[in-house]
Amino acid sequence: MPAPDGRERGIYTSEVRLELLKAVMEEGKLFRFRAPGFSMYPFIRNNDIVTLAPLADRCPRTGDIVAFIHPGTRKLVVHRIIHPRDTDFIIKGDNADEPDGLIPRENIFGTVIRIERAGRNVAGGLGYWRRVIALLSRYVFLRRIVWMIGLPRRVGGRGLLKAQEFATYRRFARKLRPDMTLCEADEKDMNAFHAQWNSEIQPEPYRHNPEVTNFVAKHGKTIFGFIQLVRHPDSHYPFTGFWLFSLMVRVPYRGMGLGRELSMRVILMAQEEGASELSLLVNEKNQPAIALYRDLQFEPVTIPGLEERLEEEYATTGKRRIAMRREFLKKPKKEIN
Amino acid sequence: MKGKPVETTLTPDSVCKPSEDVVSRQIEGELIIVPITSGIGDMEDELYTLNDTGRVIWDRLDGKTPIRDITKALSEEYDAPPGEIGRDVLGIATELVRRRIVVAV
Repeated sequence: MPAPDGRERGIYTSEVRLELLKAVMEEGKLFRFRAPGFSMYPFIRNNDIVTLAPLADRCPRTGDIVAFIHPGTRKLVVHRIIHPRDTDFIIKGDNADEPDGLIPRENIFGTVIRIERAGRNVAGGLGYWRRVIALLSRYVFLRRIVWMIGLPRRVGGRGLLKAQEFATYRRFARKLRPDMTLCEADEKDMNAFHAQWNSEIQPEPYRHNPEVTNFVAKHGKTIFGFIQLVRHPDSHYPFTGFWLFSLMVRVPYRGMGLGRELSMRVILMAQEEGASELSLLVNEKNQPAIALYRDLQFEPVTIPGLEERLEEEYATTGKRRIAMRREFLKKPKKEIN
Repeated sequence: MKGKPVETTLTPDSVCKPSEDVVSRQIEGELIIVPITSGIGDMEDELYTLNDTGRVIWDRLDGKTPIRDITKALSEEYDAPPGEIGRDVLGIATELVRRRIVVAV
């Protein structure tokens, strides 16, 4: 007879999650779960973890973030009450254009009492401010204010990217580069990488893949850069042989030579393993990356079987990637007399 | 469920019942058990599912019926040797206690 299965987290459908939520709320307990989506941005971000408290007999109030079943879709939604009307409530996502409609009290299960992001509580959308947020959301000013708040950061980011194109900036940036270690990533590094770079996607549990070697540039638990060496077997045609994948460097740390050093790690490992060539794909508009790869002796190539796929990808996404390849010279074998 | 596994030895005379710190619900043919830790049902914690056999035993862990009687009833119901059924019932009950889903009374 089998033991009870400990099910991996997060694989339940929204219907199952809703049933479990109801079961826990009926017991008068709190319910903690991951809330996917962007409709409550910036106060709840995709995959933030929220804790719900049952409403019991309490009447929800303006500004409360509540979990309810949408009468139209029958799905569980977590949005904010912006206005009570008789026994119903007008509810709206902070980042949505339109309200969800008039939601009856009986469709509402609980209120959000805690929001967690990357292991920390974030309380911006709760507390005393919630009424003000509801008021702004009701009159559509909220999205405009959020856009304005984010403007300096966006402008600063673009300015930094422009500055990184100049050799003078890069020369200074290399001197100012913080201490960091470049190494093969272990399980802890990969978990840190996913938490810091892909926090909006719930990561799969770490599984070692012998076909892939991951490298990180890190300081303590902070990951600044990432790259992969992937060894594709013949069955993965047209992606066969050794591939350099997923070179990523955090924007503020670009121009400091991290991309080059990470790429060199992959090149050296591929060489040590006897690769005759190393391939990669890069967006044709990513000129800094293409310049780096050219400097590392990669040249644009046409890979049979891959061109059609890249054309299809271009037709679908509007983004064209090109293949580049570096060939390694084989050391001549010594003749034995 | 958070916390150390409970090490216990159940006997055929042991009586068990579901812990007060779990909420269970039958959904889409599965019995899903949500542990309640510090008053919170946590989807980020490990949840448990029981298959048909596990569910049959779970339904009989009512805090009154000894494991010996559960074995006897299942043996008659499924026309299976009591020895084999007894081992299975004791095994799964021990595992459930170990994981704090069930408590011995």
